[in-house]
Amino acid sequence: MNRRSTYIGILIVLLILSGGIGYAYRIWNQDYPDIVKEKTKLSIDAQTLLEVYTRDETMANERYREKVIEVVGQVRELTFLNNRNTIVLEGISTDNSILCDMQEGQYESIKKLLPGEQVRIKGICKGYLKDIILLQCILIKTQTQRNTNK
Amino acid sequence: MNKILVFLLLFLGLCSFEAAEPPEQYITRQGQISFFSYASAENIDAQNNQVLSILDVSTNQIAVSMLMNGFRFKKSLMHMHFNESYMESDLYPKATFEGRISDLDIPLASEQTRLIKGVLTIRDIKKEVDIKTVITHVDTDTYVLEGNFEVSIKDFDIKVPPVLEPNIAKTIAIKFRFEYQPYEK
Repeated sequence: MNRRSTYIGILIVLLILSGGIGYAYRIWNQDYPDIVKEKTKLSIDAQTLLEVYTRDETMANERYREKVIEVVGQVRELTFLNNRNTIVLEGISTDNSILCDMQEGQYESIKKLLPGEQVRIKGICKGYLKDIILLQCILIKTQTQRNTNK
Repeated sequence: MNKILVFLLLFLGLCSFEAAEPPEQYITRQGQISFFSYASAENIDAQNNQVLSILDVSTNQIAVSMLMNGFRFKKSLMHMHFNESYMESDLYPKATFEGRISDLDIPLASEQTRLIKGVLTIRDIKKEVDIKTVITHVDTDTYVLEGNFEVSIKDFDIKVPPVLEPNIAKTIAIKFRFEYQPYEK
């Protein structure tokens, strides 16, 4: 009876230990969060976001830095420098923009985008240099703008 | 009406012809900086692909600015530790470099190896550095600067807890590649 309870005790300790190790291992090897599953904290259009950042960077960082946000804007160009897929969104002037560094596996959905097309992009806002930088982005939807006024 | 238009176009054409001098300032908004830490317990490497840099070929001056939380690691835990424990990116979000390329001959005939003397600022700590770089003039519009150098973590007051010392190298190898285009403001 006594020996039996010792065995059970050891077994429980072992179980807890292996669970702990397994958990630690999972944390250690954790990948970056998948943006598809992350909840959007804020939605904003590209111009407004740039205005907020150019007016007061510290305040803008408090509001947007490291947050999952959705940005609506017009495609300026696509770049494939350094083996990254980047969508550059139009800014307030030619001197600023929003750089959206796309998450892996986004190439197929972005390769056909054309300058001037309106897109909605979800990603993590990292901050501002001359441009606002968004990482781990995914394309949410495309909407071709009709230039009827031109 | 048509004549005015033709005249206007001609005038515009002339203007652009006059402005055909090579630009003085070049910019990259997507420069690449990677770092490597080779230590006995593990190797860590990360890349930042959104480094901003402006190169002025009339004064040979170069300025670089980057977001520390823009580095991408293999694992998100490394990213977290890097920003929270070591770089304290909330307090010091940017790292910058300002320097001057010595003896740069413009226009570049071919590839040149030059020294950039300047000041590197990480965590608000300034340090004078000399960085060797290879400069290539790819075509009329593109300059590429490439190179690597090392920084000691002690110089920038980066504290590593004793238990983690085998995991973090004392000197970090840094590699950079900037592809500059004419800067149109």
